[in-house]
Amino acid sequence: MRRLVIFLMPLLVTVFILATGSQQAAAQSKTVSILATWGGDEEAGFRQVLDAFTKESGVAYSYEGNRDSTVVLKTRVAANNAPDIAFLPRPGEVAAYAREGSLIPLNQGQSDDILPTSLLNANYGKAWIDLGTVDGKFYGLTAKANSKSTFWYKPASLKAIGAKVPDTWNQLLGLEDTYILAGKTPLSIGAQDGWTLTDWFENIYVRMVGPDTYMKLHVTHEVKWTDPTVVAAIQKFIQVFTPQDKKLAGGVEGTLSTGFIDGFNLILRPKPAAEMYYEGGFMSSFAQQNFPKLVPGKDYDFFEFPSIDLQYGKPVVGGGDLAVAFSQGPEVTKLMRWLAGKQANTIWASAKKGSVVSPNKLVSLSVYPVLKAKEAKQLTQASIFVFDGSDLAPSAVGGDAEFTALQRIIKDPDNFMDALNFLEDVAARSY
Amino acid sequence: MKERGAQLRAWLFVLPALVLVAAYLVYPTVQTFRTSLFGGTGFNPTRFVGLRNFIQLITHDSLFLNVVHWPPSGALVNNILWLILFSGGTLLFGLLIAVLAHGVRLESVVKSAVFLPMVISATAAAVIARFLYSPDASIGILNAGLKALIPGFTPVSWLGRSELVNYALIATGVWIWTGLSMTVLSAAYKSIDTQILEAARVDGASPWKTFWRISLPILAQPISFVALTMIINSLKMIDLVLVMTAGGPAGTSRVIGFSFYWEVFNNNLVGYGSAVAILMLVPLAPLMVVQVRRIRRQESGK
Repeated sequence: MRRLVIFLMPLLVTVFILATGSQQAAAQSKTVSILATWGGDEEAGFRQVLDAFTKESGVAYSYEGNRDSTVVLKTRVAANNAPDIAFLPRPGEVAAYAREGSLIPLNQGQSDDILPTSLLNANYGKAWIDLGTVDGKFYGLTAKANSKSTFWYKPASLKAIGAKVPDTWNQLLGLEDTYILAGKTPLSIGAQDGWTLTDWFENIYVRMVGPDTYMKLHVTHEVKWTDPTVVAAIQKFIQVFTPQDKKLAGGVEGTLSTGFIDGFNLILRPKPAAEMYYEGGFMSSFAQQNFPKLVPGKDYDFFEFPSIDLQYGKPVVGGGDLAVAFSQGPEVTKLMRWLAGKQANTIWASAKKGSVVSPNKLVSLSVYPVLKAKEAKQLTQASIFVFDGSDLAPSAVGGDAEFTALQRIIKDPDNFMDALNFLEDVAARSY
Repeated sequence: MKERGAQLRAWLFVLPALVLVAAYLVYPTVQTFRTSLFGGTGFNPTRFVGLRNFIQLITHDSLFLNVVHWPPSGALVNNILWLILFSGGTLLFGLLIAVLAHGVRLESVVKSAVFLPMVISATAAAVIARFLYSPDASIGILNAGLKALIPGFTPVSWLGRSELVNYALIATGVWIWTGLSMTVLSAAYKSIDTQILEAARVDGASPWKTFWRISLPILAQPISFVALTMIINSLKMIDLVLVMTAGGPAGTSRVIGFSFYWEVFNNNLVGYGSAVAILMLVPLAPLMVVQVRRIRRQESGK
């Protein structure tokens, strides 16, 4: 009896595999496969958009959310098994895949484009179209945008020490000192996630040198990381967190082992460890998730990252996820057109969970909850807008070395030149 | 005629294995050698740079090897630390438990407990260890335990402080791999002829002397086998580092295996990453040869 079972096992397994295989082949229209990093609430919001798409068009989708999507995507593309559509967080990645020939252009000024010019221009401003354009062809549709120039604070805490929202860098430093005198820790930084530090640096840098030099540093490497302008920006950054044990929640140790979500939680929890936290507008979703009893806009709010050099004012550093197509076909075209339209973006912007700020200009500001509306306004009204620098640079620099260098600077600010030299070494072999 | 038929049959039997080895071992190794001579990004690098990747690795990558400040740091240095402490630790604890638990009433319980981490996947063990080390005393058992035992103790971030992180990781590695070391050494220890030990006892040798002078030399072969296996493991180490700290904080817990993976898949510098892989192969290859030779000698000896 036992021998019979053991003998039949492989037979049963084979039959099972064949059965599921044939089930897939029997499906009628093609299922569009999508890959992105989103999980949890972010995924819930996106699925609302996708479910509405399936209802409208009858085309099924399959979504894969994977925190390591960069790695997964690379391997899949190399194996000729790329998803139909993927969301890339960096224009640099879009350019790399486009130049490699892996992407299908969404618009090349032709009548049969996936996203015809009339549709694009109706829905998006020039800045967003330029962002997704590589060598004259449009490849990346910015699906969700965010501002990274939002400095989070607690209005009640500010009022308690009788201070105002800081407008300039020096006022911010003064506010920190006021907090310290009142016996509170002014800042929390989620330095374990190195990219939070790159956001700090980018805001400071663009406010000191303007958008052109900013792009020269990150995109073309015409400006080196050891350049005097970078040194000056780093020195300004060091001003805001030293002395570490007075200005940072948890001191150096605590800061380096605090992630970006925990860093925000530290200022919002009942016994706060600090009063202010700098990170992007998307932090409000985490506040809602983790502290649903707190009222956005009243218990926590943001002010714009202060200006440094008045001639540049307050440029907005932002990010976004760009949708790209690895394959073509009627289903892919339908989904792309849906994603670029007013309906999809309005659904996404007003989702109960995981709502986003859409760069689509046809979405009315009234659909946004209070803080997101403030962010959307900041994005659409910015006089200067630059994409997150660490996402513009090649991943060796902006996805790794920059994190490490800045973490080293938090730990050992006196030897910041070592960190900059290291960063420049990596940049030299990455461009 | 019959002999040629037998030879052909032998080759046919080995052929599938040979094909797999050629496809998954030989070809990728050759490809890696080739790729390491190229620079640039993407999976098909085109810029030939010769040995520049290797030179840069040794001289211009402070995360790999940093000799500017004393003490030297970097992935290479960390690996040497792993080599000494991890191999030494697993060997020592494996031997200790094998000898001390021998013949004791709770022997099987102790040995099962020590072997348990080997049964779960290394990644799962790494995630468990990460929670264990958590700096939040309400989550991390280590900090909670120390807080309960030592008055006035403030929780330590074991994985967040660069002075501690490597030792914390190595400790996890030892916890996982001691099971293997213990099993091999215990089997060898139990196979020591009791008559020899009896004779030693009758001659008046103390238990310590018996162990040191008689048991240990007999265990020399299995000990060196375990040592070699652990040394090879320490040079290949990547899973613990990847899951627990991703090389952090600020790259201070990186090891060679991790660097290779990170440069290729995260930094998209495939040529550079391949150079790291080749550098990893350099100390590993002779060790593998020694290990294989030893196994063959053992087999032919039997």
